[in-house]
Amino acid sequence: MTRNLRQNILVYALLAVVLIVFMTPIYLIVSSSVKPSPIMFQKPPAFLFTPTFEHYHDLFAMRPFTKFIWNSLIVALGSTAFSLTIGSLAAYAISRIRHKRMNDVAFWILSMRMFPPIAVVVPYYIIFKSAGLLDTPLALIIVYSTANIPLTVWLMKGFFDEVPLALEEAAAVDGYGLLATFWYVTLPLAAPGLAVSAVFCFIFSWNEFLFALMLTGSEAQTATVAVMSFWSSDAVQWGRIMAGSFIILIPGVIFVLTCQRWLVRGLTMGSVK
Amino acid sequence: MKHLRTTALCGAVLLGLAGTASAEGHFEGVELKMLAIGDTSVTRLAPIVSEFEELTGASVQIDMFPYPGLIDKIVIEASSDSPSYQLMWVDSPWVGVLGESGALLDLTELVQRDAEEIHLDDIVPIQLQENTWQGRLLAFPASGMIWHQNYRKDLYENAEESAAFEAEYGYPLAPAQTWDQYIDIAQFFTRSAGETLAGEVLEQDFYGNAQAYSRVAGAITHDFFPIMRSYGGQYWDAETGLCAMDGPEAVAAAEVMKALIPSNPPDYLGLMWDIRTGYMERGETAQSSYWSVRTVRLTNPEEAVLPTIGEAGYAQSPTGDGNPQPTMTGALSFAINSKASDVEQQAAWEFIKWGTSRDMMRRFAEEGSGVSQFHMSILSDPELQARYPYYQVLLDAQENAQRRIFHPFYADVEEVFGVELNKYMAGETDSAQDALTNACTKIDTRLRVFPEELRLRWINDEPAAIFQ
Amino acid sequence: MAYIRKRNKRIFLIFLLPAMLVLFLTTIYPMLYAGYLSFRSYDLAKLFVPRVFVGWSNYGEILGSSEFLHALVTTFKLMAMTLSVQLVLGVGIALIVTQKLPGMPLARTLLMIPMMISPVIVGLVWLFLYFPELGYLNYFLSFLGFDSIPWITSTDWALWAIAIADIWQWTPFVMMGTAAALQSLSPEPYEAAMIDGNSRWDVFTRVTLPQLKPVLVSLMFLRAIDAFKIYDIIFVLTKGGPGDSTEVLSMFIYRQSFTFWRMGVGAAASFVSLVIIVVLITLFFKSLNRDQVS
Repeated sequence: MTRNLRQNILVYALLAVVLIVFMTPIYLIVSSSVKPSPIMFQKPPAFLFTPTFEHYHDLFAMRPFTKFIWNSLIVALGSTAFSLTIGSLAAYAISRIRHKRMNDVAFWILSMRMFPPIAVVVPYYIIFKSAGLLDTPLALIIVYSTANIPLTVWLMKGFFDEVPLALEEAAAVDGYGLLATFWYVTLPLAAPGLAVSAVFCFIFSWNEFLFALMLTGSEAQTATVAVMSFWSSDAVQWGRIMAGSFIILIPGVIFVLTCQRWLVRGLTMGSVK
Repeated sequence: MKHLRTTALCGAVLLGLAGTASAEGHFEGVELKMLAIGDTSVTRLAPIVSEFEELTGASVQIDMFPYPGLIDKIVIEASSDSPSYQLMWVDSPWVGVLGESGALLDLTELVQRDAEEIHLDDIVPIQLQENTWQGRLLAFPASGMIWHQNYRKDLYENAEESAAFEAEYGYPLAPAQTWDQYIDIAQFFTRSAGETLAGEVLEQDFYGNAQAYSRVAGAITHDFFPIMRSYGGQYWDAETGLCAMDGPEAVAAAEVMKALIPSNPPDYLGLMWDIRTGYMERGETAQSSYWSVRTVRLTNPEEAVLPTIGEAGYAQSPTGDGNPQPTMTGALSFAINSKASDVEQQAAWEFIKWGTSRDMMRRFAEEGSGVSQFHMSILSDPELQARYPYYQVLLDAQENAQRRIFHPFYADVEEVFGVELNKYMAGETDSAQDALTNACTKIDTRLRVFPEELRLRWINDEPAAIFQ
Repeated sequence: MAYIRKRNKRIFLIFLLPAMLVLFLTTIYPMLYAGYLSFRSYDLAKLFVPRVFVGWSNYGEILGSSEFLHALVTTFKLMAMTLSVQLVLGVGIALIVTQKLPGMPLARTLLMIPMMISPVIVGLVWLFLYFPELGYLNYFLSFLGFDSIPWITSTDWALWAIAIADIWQWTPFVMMGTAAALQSLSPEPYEAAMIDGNSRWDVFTRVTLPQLKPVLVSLMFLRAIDAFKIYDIIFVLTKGGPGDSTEVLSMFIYRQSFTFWRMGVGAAASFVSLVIIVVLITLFFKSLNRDQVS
């Protein structure tokens, strides 16, 4: 009993250290977002001060921030939904077709994630310009999907590999067609995988900066770019940036919380390749 | 003047327009978009663009982007034949690359046409020259910048401190006129916590100066060039058009920066824009030189601590030998996309006139925390001077002012010198000469690709044709 | 396998088609364009209309350039630093937060937050923390009696400063994956090992770790791909400095393409780095397959 107690104390002590280390930057975001500008930087840092909400006010007063958050949501959800749909279909095919070339296909798909993004910014700009898609959420959805589809394929293939073939065969015996088997039997079993993929696609699309900066203007600007736009020629407006960072953190947290039950099950199954 | 008026009339007749008075409602249905950042002037203009819309009928949408990455976005935008943006925010050193690529509309004729309306005679000439490329005016100042020094007036006037300074250095304590004095003052005022400053025991360290040595956003090169220029250093070799920033003047400037390190805050290598000005604004340093766009904060207790604990003084940037030398200027400006349609360009020019007009500038100054001014009548206005004591310094400094570097390869220079100076300051390169020679070698490697004729054209600062 | 008949195979190919088509259509033009650029010289006067064919000279320049080599080495150094720490720390924290004790689910959720922040903002937050004098980090160090560290301003520390920010952001990823795997491990081998009287450490290394291996390999693989492309954090924190101590491949490509307008050299560098990562990953797969066979 005492041994258990001692052990628990040790676990909690370690956890406390971990939490302090990992939460300090988060604390910095939150506290700076309500810290008056003149004392933003001070030696020693100001820990006790009267909080101000002027940065939050400025954020919405100086930029159409609500619209930008909305843009981010459209782009992130759009790319996630699109990537999950065609990504999981492809993953299912790769998982079920027994052919030695399939590894190459999987690898080719994954290699789409490896090209340095910085090298393709200009060509993407040119394409979207001529297609009239510049400054639309669709442009970003397309670009993000080229990164999200490979990830989805990679993750989902692991999950589909785990689904027992016997179940699918049984369904086939019951007269289910291939699509029906996939939809009613395989996909529900791999649902946790969808949750994992969804979270990563969402996080990536929500946070991406480079393409969002280059391919959008006022119509489709995302919240991340809008937050960074408080980095001006003569100043980094820390208070507003931190306030914006805190606000755009919230959807991600909500999304992950909703998916969390699935996540734990999901990561277990799929990653065991 | 008469000639100007005739030109203006002719222009007006030809274009079917005549100044703002009759531009009212002329641009119904024209939609303008501006590629900008959220600097002081844009931030002030954005909320009141509806006033312009009422005046002219044109609608204006200002998109604000982060400063890092903005020039990349402008260049990509400029490379496109059908522009998304008719108006662009431009930092004056960019006129070289943008001018060479033909991205910006030449404003010369428009300025000549509307000379009276925009009070051309009242604008500090160097601020216009800042935006000139090969004689063509490619952008119009919205915020004029001067590099000058800020110091702690209350400490300089403290009897005890000034007596101690004179006893130690043999000359009276006053705003530094030479860099040697600047270094002396910096050393003199560098105190550790526990020592006394102006009769009070310091709770934390106090610094003699705050200069920027960070590579982020080119901060270190911005600090280096004013010093180099004030020693009489040149950017380019007039014979070959190659890099000349490794001459004795440049070496002296790098050594000044190195000598200032011990009296700088210890995070000197990380100090960039507002972090450096923050030391001055919080009253933690005796002197600091930077662009005048941030100076206004030193007068405002809501934006800075200093006005509540002491007083800021302002002076021109020191020079090598105390004699007048070129002061660094800069301009944050508005420009028009050369590929916009005629009517869009006309409307965009109306917008620039409106947003940079003397009335607007005065309005900003009167509303407080004004933008950095560039109209002589505003800078010399006694009422405004009482409120913004540094206006006189800005006005005086313009006399010997010379424009900043405007070469199409400016970005290379900022980057390469940033790397090499940073290495020297960090102690990785042995001597200033080595660091600067390395930097110049790298720049020259890129420049030699181009014919000498072209290189010489690039360094030729032809005066703006607006004055002809 | 009777289940997979000819007809099904065709349907499977139809499943595969949309993804292949989308990826092909969205990447072919940018890749071709970059490929075209990599054989051209830049022309400053017409920024994005490179005209001059220069053969392999851009590639020659890249391969012979000490700057590129330096960037490559720095990228791998950074990769090694971040991946190793993320692995150890991620597994360690996972072992803590999978204890069946009150509060652990909440701790798991909190620890996932760093992953959800945009890398550019992570860069800014750490910039704030790293300011040698005004930052929180050195304040805490001085509080604990340590000397302050010139995090992003010294060539000795800057790469670590970048690594720490990346480790902070992505350790939760490894933690999350490992924690999930730990919770699903079957209990039998443990009971057997415990009965055999092995120490906790032995149980961990001999029983737990081998079971975790596939998960960890998979997690590290995904991290490695992203670490190879790391860009945002460096762009904000050091821009490659001080000196060139944090100049990774992405920064090299960025500077060549956008600061120096040498789109051709930048594109060539992109292809060279693509080849390097593809070769490495192929080797990785090969060795993985050999492991599985043996």
